[in-house]
Amino acid sequence: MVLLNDFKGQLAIEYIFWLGLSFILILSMVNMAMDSDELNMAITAARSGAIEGANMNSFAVFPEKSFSEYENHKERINFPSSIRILKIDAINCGFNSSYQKTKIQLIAHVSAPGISKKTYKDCLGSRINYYMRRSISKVFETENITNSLYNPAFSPKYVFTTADVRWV
Amino acid sequence: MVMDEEGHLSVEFIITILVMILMGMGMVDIVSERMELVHEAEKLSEARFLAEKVASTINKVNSAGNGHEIKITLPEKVGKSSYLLWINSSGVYVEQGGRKGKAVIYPVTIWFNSSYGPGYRMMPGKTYRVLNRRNNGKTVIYIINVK
Repeated sequence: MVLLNDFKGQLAIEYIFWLGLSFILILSMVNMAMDSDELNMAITAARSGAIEGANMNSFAVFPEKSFSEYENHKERINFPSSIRILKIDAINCGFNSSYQKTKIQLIAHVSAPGISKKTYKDCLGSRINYYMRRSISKVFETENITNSLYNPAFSPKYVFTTADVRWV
Repeated sequence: MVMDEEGHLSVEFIITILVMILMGMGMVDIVSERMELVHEAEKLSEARFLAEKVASTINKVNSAGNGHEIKITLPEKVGKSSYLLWINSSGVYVEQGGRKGKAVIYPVTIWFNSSYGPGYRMMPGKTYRVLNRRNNGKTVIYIINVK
């Protein structure tokens, strides 16, 4: 059989159906993929922030105000020590109606064999949590819609809070 | 095929490139954040290292006894940024970018002689002699700016 118009470039109906179906499927998956990507970016940023906080704690080089406080009351913190981030858990707490975003609670698991006092651990843990939230706010450029402690930190679809650091 | 000579790209290749560009764009923020993290870590570690180096020099001179001397040259920058370093009888303090750290030394009397800066401050890029001298039966560490 000779098709006279074949040189003009035609597409088989089956191909067009498959293309249409694929397009619809991709469209429905894009939203899901973008949410996952956003959460993934936030957790990566939180990890970077936690490492930054842990580095500061390990090298014992602190902002001036904290340094003076530690020098007067918690001198052990001003000595270098080994502090390691083991893992960061992200717990989905569901949709938060006040923020109109999904709430995620981050929990850092940290090892600091040289630090035993609870008050010292609280100071070091607060710094790790602060830098986690700060890093998320910086990556999503949401510093202007949060407070000076970056609590909570925001991304377009999520709101992040931090729980007390778990010391391992 | 006649037109094949003009250089074509397959649809798969173009889609792959587009996906890679999209993924790369998503990673830019994370990569820049990580780069900043590395830079911050470099600054913190160099500040700590410098304070510990000066403290260790003072401790060495102190424990080595009367007449011992070590020359020390401070770097111009710490982690590519300027810094402040000063000493008192209990430690060496370093300050950089609004952050402070302290390296402890064995308590000792320190006598400081410098034509630069106030009091016990040591200046970036300068060389100092750290000397142990007995003075009225007491060990005194002299820190003298030489150039």
